[in-house]
Amino acid sequence: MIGIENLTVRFGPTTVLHGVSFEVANGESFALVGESGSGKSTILKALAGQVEDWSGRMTLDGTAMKRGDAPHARQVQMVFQDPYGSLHPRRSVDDTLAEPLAIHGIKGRDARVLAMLDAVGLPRRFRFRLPHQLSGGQRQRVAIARALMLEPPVLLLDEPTSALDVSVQAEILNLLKGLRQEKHLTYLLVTHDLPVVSFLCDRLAILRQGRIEEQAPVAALRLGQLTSAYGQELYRRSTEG
Amino acid sequence: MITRDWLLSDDPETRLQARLGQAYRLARALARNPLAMVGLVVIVALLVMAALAPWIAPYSPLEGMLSNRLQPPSALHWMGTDELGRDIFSRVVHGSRITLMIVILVAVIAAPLGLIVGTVAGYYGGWVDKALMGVTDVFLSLPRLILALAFVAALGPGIENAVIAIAITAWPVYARIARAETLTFRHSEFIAAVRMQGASGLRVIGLHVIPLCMSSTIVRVTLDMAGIILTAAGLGFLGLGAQPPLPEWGAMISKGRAFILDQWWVATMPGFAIVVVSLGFCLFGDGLRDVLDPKQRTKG
Repeated sequence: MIGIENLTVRFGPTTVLHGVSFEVANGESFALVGESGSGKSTILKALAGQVEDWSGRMTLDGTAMKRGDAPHARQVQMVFQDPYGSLHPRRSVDDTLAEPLAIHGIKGRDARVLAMLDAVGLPRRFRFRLPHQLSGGQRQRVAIARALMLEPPVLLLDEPTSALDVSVQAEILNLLKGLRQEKHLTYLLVTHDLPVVSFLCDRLAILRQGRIEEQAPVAALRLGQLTSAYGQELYRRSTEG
Repeated sequence: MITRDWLLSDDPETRLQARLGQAYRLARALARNPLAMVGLVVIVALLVMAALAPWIAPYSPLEGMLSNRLQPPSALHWMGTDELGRDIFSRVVHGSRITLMIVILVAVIAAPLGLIVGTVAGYYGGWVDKALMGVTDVFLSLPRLILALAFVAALGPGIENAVIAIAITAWPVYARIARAETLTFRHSEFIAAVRMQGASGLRVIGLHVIPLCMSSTIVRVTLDMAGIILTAAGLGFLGLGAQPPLPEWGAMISKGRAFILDQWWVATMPGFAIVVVSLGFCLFGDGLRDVLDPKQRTKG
């Protein structure tokens, strides 16, 4: 579903990603793990069409991406890290969810918005609330609902729970897990939180300074059997707390 | 049935209820600010005065009796009479129409122009930004009254040209503010999200960027009203705005200047009107700024 070959990204003189390659199968949930600055979010941004200067090859659902072009909105959508910054402060939940439908001229907006509120577990009475009248978890549900409005097969998740309280994190993770089964979605998740990976993902890649150190199935992570030294180090740090 | 609880409901059932609820919260916050209310009263009084000028003014604003010239304020002539025997109160009342027209026309021309230039420059950045802001800076670097003077001199004196001249000098400020504000959320995630959904640049600016710059522009325009009135009065005073016999306040002061020592009321009364109206707009603008500040909007 997602194919990345030899992706190199430069921000001015600094090279952030050095020839990264990996593939994500249809319906798979793949995690990019690493510390801040490892380039994991940059991969997501490149796939989302928000990075100008990249080389290599990126394919989404069989179609290669062109430089400077945003991917098609119906192929891939993104859930951002900060639910406080990713919702327009003056637009109600209804406006936010109906906007992608309006852009693409899709009919039956009311019914679709209500169905999506149900799907992400938001009460229908929240429909005309503004973001400041919602909690962080509720906002993230709105952001997930927005990403799903166009029914894209691929969802990019940029640390979707790191800005939330622990109890709310679990709710959002459960929601993401349920939605993936229900709608047969492909996830590309960026996180530094290994327990999130083992809960939500099938495979993971560990990034360090713009290079992939290791790719492993999630079972290896659960058993602590990561092969690279850096992977072991991350695992140890995460288990020690 | 519209009740207070219905308006303040946290769970509005329709879009209309949500909008009305927001408007009600705003109005209530504004009503708690006494100074803003004073400003509002002044503005409403100006509106009423302009709308009902022929019925409020006891005499004609244009015709007077020369035998009655330069009378001090009395029960017959509340603000006295001018050098042609015209009732100053009637002229001030009719002058409110001219003032209001200038203010509204300038706001309608300058605010949208500045808003569009500023948001487009801020959103696209790069050479678009450089070009648009270059033009803005050229206008901004010239003193307002001087530039307006130059335009009026080129176009000829008259109220319409005064309006155009003031509008041309007023928009760069709004463009600068709108650009600065656009830059603060230009790279924010909610803009990235709507772009990922396939929205065109025009749609992002029109539906997502401009609404966020709107409140600061409204506040700024309201605060600028005082300056606009003063500039219009200044042009009138210099004989480049409204032409006689139109009862424009600035032009009236200019005429009264000749008698300021012996017949103080001729220049003072229209001056007083300018001060009161300018102050009203200033106070109301201040109140609006407090209310439209997004951080305050959750209260209520």
